[in-house]
Amino acid sequence: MRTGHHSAAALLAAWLLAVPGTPALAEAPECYARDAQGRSFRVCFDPGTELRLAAAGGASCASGWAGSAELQLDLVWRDRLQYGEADDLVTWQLDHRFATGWIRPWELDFEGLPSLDLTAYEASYVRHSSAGYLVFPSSPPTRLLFPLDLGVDLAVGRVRAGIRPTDERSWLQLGAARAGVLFDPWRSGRPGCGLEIGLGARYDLDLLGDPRLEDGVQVVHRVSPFTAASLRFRIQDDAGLTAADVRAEVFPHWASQGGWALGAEASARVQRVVLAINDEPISIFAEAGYDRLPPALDLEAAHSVRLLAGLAIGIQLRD
Amino acid sequence: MDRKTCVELWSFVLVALLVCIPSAMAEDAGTEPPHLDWDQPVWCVKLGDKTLRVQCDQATRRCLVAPDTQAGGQPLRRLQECTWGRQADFDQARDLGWTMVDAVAEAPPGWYRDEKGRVFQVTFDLLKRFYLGAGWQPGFALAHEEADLARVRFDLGFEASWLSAGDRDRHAIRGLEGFVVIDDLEAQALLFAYDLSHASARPVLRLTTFFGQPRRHDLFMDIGWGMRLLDLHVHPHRAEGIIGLEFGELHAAWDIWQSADLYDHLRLEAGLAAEGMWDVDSDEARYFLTPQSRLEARFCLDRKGFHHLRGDIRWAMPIRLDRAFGQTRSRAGFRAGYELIFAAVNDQPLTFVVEAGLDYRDDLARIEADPWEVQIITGLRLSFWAPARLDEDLPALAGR
Repeated sequence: MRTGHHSAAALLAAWLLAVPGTPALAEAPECYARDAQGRSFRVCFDPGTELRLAAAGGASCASGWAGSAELQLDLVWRDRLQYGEADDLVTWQLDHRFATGWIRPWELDFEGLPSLDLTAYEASYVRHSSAGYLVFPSSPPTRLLFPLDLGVDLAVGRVRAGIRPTDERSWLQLGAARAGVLFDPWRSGRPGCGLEIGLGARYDLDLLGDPRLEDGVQVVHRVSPFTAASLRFRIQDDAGLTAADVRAEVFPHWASQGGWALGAEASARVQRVVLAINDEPISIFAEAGYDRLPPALDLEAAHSVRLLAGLAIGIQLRD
Repeated sequence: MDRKTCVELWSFVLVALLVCIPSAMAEDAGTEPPHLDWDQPVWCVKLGDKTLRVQCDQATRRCLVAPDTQAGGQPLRRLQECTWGRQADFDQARDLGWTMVDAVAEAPPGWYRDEKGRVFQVTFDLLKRFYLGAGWQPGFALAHEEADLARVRFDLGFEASWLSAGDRDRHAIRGLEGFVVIDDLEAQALLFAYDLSHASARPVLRLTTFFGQPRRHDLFMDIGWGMRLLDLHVHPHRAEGIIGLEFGELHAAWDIWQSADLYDHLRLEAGLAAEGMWDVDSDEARYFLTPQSRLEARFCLDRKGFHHLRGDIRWAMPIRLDRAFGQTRSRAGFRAGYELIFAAVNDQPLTFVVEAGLDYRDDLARIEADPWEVQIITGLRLSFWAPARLDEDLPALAGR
């Protein structure tokens, strides 16, 4: 037994049972929460800046309703640039989408191409100003209230392949370019939110037929000279967990075969993050799409509808 | 020696040498005097010719006072270091109204000191021991519908397991482990085995659910590994003349579940072994490369280490490497066992073992060998070393 010497008073003090304190939990970074065990986890996401891979199933209607399944890819990047302050604060929301669309690898239609709808680049640039106004260069200059945000909407390099519903002829459409001006009367200024009315131009090419046949492939050029009108409503919550996007476009256009025609397309999507794996969001979504394919050559106008629900894995590209 | 002395001696032997299952002690806990706390400072003070061990709590103004010797005057064993104080300080504390309570001196974790001051081990770590055992292992040949009930088994083995808390690892070695059954001399001997269990600090998947309040759920994947070296099996399935030798085995392991101290686990192993088998009578030799897997369970049912459950389900596919190159065979089986500490002799635990299993193998060189074997084992083991089992959970993971 080893022993030592201390005063009793010191011993009595030393015998006090120490009560350990509870260490304070470190503050979680922005967009992260910290649980009682001190573990942090992401609780908000940016659906406008992520690589999204999805699988969806549902039904589509062309000649008739049939089951449908597809894979989806979406690489989106959102920048928000701000300058000025107070009433002069201007926010540019730049939404870029690369390699966006869906594909059905198990449906080979045009020249061995699967059914697909892919766009190489699509963007919307919306300028939100805290105080919208319009200035006339009169003398003196006149400033009037302008209750709209302005923006630009564009897309290049769209490819759509499939079977035309009416006669089941192979069909490939190349959307060379689409561009338009946007007006947003909602002026929310919040990320991913807007009510955008657009007016623009577009140029598409339809390739019909089969190159192996005698007739080969026939090409129809379609030009909308600022006659394409669109309406888009999109909204998301502050945490980026829920988002919805509805867009419709009607584009009267001139076609190289048959003259003036009317095309239309619409899409709607709502998604909700239900889970995150390693802080990457997993969302469920429902999506609907409508296309009015204008008449081409001897073909009547046709309609197709997609109704799908699926699961998407998002890889956030920014913390 | 008169009759009374004899009775007292036997009482002493029974109390000092046999530690009964701690639940019995727990029932007595309400009536026994308090014990000094091993983890708190102890003050030694001399009162006349007696030395007292004192531990005070200022919050309750209460001191536990224990004699520094056993009831018979022998010195106490396994004590905490004490600090000497003066009788005047002790008297002063008493005069100030502090309560002095008769108590029993402290005992190390895993040990118990009785009212007479004798100390004995009451928890045991059976993963650290050298054991010798004897028991009954009847033999059943299902194919021939025969039973040999007159078989006696002797076994021994060494095992050690230690937690490396900083690395979040548990290392386990086994060696010189084996048994022999007489009178047909079935025997097995393992030279060395090593296993590493690891508790991953980083979850392989962090799931966050967004139903209601967001919550995080971590999924860990604890990967370890292990190996065996020279495992000899003589007369497997009581096939006379057959000798099998596993030269070496290496496996990866996934601890599907493990306790906070990595003591208990449910572990899935997959590995590869190199083996040979000889028929002594015909001088035939076979060599195998054996992919194998095993699901192993090991549970200690109480923190004191008295009840142990072990079991496994195993499968192997020996692939011949000799003149019948590429031919495959099968081995499979399961085993479940229970080991209970029912007494301790000089702090060395004595256990009761019962085990049952079924084994199948069609790789034996003898065609008449029974591929099936029912294994029933019951017996006693005396374990040496078996230190006190301590609470040594891994440190909590810092928030990430």
